[in-house]
Amino acid sequence: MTIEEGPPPPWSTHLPPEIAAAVLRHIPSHADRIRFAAVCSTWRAATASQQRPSLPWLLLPDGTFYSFPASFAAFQFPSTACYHGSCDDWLLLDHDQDGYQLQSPFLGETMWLPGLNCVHQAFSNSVVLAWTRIITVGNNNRFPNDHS
Amino acid sequence: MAAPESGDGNNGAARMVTLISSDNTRFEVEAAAASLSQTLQLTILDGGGGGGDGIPLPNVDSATLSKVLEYCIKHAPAAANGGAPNATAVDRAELERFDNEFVNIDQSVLYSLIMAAHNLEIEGLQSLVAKKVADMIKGKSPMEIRRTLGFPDPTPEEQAEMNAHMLEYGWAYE
Repeated sequence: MTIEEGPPPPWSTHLPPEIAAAVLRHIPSHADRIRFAAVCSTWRAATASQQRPSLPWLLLPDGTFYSFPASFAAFQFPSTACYHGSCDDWLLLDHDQDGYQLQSPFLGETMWLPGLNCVHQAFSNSVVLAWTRIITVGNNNRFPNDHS
Repeated sequence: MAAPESGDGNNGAARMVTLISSDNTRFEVEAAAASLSQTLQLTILDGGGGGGDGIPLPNVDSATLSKVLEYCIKHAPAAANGGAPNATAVDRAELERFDNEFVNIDQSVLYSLIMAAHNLEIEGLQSLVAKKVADMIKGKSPMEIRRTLGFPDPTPEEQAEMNAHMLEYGWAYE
C-alpha cells in the first residue's frame, strides 16, 4: 500500500473541531446527527461535545416514530404497552398490572419503576406528583395492536 | 444627537486599511469592512493596517481573501447599524439573496472560506458557510456525505468504524 501524495482531505482530519461543531449546529435532526457522526472520527468527536439537543421525534398513536426534518426514516415501537408520556429520550410506558417502565429506544435500555401502589403507601401522593412534574403526562395513547 | 453618517467620523473620509495575503497580494479595504473580523478589529483599533504597513494574513491566500472581503464589504453597512434593526425588508432580502449566491460554490472553496472565517473570527461568514454545508449533507448517508465533500474512499478501518457507529446508533434508519 502506498501513501498518496497531494493535499489532505480538508473536510476530514484537518477540520478544527469548532468548525465541525459549527456545521452541526445547523443540523437539528436526530437522524442527520447520527449520520454526521458516522462520517469520520473528527466529526464523531465534534458530535460528542455538541450540547444543543436535537429536535424531538414524533411518536404517532399507532406507535410509529418519525425523525424530522429531512428524514423519511421511521421505526415501529415494538411494545404493546400503553404510552403515557416522555422526557428527553425516555418514554413512560404502562404495562397494566406489570407496572410502569421507562424505555429509551435510542439507548435500547429499559428500566422498571417501583410499583405505584408501593409508592402511594410509603410516601403518599407527593411522589406521584413529582413523577408528573418530571415526565409530561399526556393522554393514554394505546396502540391499536394492543387489543390483538 | 444624530449619529454621523460616516462610521468613524474621520473627516467624512472612510479610513482604509491594507491586508496582505499569504501570497503577498495587497488588498486595500475600508476599516469598517475589515472590522467584521474580530481579530482584525483589535489590530485596527490599535492603529494598525494604515499607511504603507499593511496587516499580513499568513493563513489566507489571495483568492480566499478576495472572497472574504467581498462578504465583509457587503455586510459592513448592516453590521455598522448594530445588526441593522432599521434595515428595510428590501435591504434584508438583498443581503439574503447575496448570501445565497455567495455560498453557491464548490466544496473546496467553502472549506477555504470557513477556515478563513474561523481564523479571522468573522462569525456571520462562518455561520453562513456552516449552514450551507449542513444543507448539503442533510438527509444523506455517511458515504454520500463523504462523496459530497470530496473525502477519499474510506480505509477498511474507517469503513468498519462507520458501520459500527450506524449499527450502534443508527439502527432505526437503515
